[in-house]
Amino acid sequence: MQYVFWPQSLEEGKHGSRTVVAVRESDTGWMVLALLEKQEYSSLVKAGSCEKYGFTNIGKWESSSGFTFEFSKNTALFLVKFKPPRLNLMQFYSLEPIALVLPEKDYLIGSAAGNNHNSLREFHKGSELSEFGLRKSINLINMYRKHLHRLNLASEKGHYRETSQLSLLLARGAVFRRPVTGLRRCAVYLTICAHFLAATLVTFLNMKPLKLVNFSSTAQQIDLRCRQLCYFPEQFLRINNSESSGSSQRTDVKSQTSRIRMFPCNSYPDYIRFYNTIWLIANDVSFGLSLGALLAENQCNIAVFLNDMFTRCLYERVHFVTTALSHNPLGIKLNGELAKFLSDLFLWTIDFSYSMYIKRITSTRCISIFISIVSTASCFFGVTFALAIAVDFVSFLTMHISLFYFISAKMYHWQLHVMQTLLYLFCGKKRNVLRNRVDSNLFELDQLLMGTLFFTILIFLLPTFLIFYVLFTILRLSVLLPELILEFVMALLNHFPLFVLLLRIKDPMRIPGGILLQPIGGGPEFKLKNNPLSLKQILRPYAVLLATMVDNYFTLSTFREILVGFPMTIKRHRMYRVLYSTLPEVPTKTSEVWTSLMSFTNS
Amino acid sequence: MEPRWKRLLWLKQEFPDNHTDPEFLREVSQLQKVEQIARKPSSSYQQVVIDFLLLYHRVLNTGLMYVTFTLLYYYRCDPMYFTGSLTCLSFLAATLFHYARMSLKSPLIIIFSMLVLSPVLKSLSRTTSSDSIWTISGWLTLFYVTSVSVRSQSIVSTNLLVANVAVLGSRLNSTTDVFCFLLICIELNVLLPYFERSLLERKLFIIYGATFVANSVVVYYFVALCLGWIYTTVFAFSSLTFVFGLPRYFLYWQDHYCKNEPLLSRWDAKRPILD
Repeated sequence: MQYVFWPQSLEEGKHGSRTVVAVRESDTGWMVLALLEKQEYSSLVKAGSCEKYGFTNIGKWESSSGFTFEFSKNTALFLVKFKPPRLNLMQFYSLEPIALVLPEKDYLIGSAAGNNHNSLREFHKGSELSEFGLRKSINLINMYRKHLHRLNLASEKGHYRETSQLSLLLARGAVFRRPVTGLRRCAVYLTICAHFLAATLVTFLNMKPLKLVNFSSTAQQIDLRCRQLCYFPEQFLRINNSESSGSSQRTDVKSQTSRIRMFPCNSYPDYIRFYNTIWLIANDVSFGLSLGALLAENQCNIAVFLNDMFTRCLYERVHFVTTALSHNPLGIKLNGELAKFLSDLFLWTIDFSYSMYIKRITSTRCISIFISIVSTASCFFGVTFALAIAVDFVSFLTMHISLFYFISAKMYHWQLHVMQTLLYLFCGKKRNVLRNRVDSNLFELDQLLMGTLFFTILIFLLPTFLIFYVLFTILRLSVLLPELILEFVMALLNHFPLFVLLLRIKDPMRIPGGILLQPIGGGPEFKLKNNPLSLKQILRPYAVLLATMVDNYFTLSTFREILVGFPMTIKRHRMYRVLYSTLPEVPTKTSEVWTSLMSFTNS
Repeated sequence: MEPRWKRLLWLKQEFPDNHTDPEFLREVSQLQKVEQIARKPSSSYQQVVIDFLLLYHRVLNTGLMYVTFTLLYYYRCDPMYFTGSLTCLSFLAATLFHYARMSLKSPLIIIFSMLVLSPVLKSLSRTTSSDSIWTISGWLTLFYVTSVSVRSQSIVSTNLLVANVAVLGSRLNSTTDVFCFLLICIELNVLLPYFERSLLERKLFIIYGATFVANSVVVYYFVALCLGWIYTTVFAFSSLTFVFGLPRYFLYWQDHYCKNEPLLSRWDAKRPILD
């Protein structure tokens, strides 16, 4: 069984009978390079380049009858037509989907690539493709243009032209070397300084006892930008190193036939990620400019509106509702003393926090200063910073509501827990911690009497605690919801795969998600097609994020937890970890970046 | 080994239709022996009447709780002297009978915890209407009597009683009333039955009879005082029927319908259990 890979549009404009020249490596099929005239082929053979590069005559092509395979008789022939990828435009074929996230973070998004692997393996087994080395053949196809270039050079005997090109390049390099080196040095020093600052900031923000990243979304945003900044030099080096090796390949073909085997597509995911990040930052800043201008223009109106809204929502409404609870709302029979005590406690806290900071912060003057800060931040650092500051501002202002929520949740939870224990006592049972089960137990009379008295009292007090808990849960939710929405918008702006989506539209060959073999006309002829990444695969981190959110907030277990009184918190870091999948866990050390940068500049 | 016959319809078994299991015959003969020896004297009329009488006594005891409550709630009696004397009496009884289990610690804890909790209890059901409280108390009493009739001395019955007392106590007007009511009820319904049981164990039937008579007199006098003679007569007749008439039916039921015998129930016709 032989596989012959045939570039599309090879036959165009060719007449008569031609020799089919192909190349192959061990375990791969034949890749047809060109259809040559007989004389051309014989001159090639004479020059000895056929042996050197492995160009082989595998058959004949007639304009009337097509291709006849002559290399080895009596074998089944499969003809696979493909569109030659242009590596310089970063087009290539790949068996696996191109990695949009870092491979070590693949587990976070539940690895769509892993599934593909499996199906591929099955495909291998089914059609016994393993023996002909599909992977190697695909690599060979990716190198098509290089092989073709060599063939052209060999057939033109253009050795001297090649060397002249080389010397020209060298000469040009010599002219520009000095000022370019100086500039490069400057750039390197700047980069190292920036990297050092960013790395220090990241370490500070993630310092253990007080992990600022978990509290404040501004800190999270700074952390994200610093991480991106730290990763830039590394990405840049990776992209440029492969490019330089590619150019060296082009120049010295003679000596290194082995180097051509090195796959040049390895840095393409890095390229995509790098430019995606840059683009997103540019986008962010341009959005930020317009938002900042808008805010600055309507500063007074917004300040008045916000002042009015904050005073109404954070003070008057909460005050009103809490007062109402102490007067048997809706005819619900609360325990008067307890309700009075709780509502007095909360009212006191509300009054205190209002007079201490809310009143001052939400004064029109303060808010307008705040808005000008936000608009400046938005102009300089992008709209995400403005959003992050706004989120932090809101969560700071609603601190008293969160506090009430946590207090009432704790009380409610304790009450339920105690009631459960006393219920066991009521039935003459006791929880056995050692065996993690409920055992019968003989209680003393005084234990029984006290337990039952407390149980009765707690049952009568439960509705009061419950209604306070419900009220503050609702308040807390209504505060959390806008914060969550804002943070989701931030996540969109920070991590949206814009570049990939545009590539998908512009040139799907650049983001391969696998290959497709299509039979043509029933014969042993196939067409090799690129299967670009689907939208689902591109947006997979978002799907995972949404699923996590749904898992965290809209499931039965969450509902049960709320019912039992477990306090709910935003596990911000855990949730957005998915979106950090294009960044390494720990930023690289400055010294490492320094050495690699220096070696890059000196090379 | 020969396969054993199983009492399952859905199995295809290699036995003739009129097969009689040898196990069955053996167990039937055993059953006859058991009936002759043990069953007849165990449920004599006298014994059953005594059992019913004991239960009736417990119900009367429970009635004492309502008597106390009514006295405090409607008639606004001062409970101080009564409580004091009753407490002294129970301490006296405790020392006289040398209860090993009654140390000084446990009653002190109970008394002080009740002192602390009685203000809380007083305000507990202020916003709840009286009808709901009566309903809750009624149900709790019903559960209590049921649990007592199943097992005369259990943790659940004590707890139900205390819960009932706490619910009723939350209706009273002053903290003193609540405390006294709790104490009286616990003494009458927890300590008194305990005392009476120890009397029975020591075969001091005369003293026991005296407490029983005193108990009945208090309850009947109170019912007559509050509800009038007609209700008292009805109550007396129904309790007489309960103590002397019902045991007959009980025996009849036990003889003809009760399938409590483990041997009998094993070979009886069974109802199918469907999911």
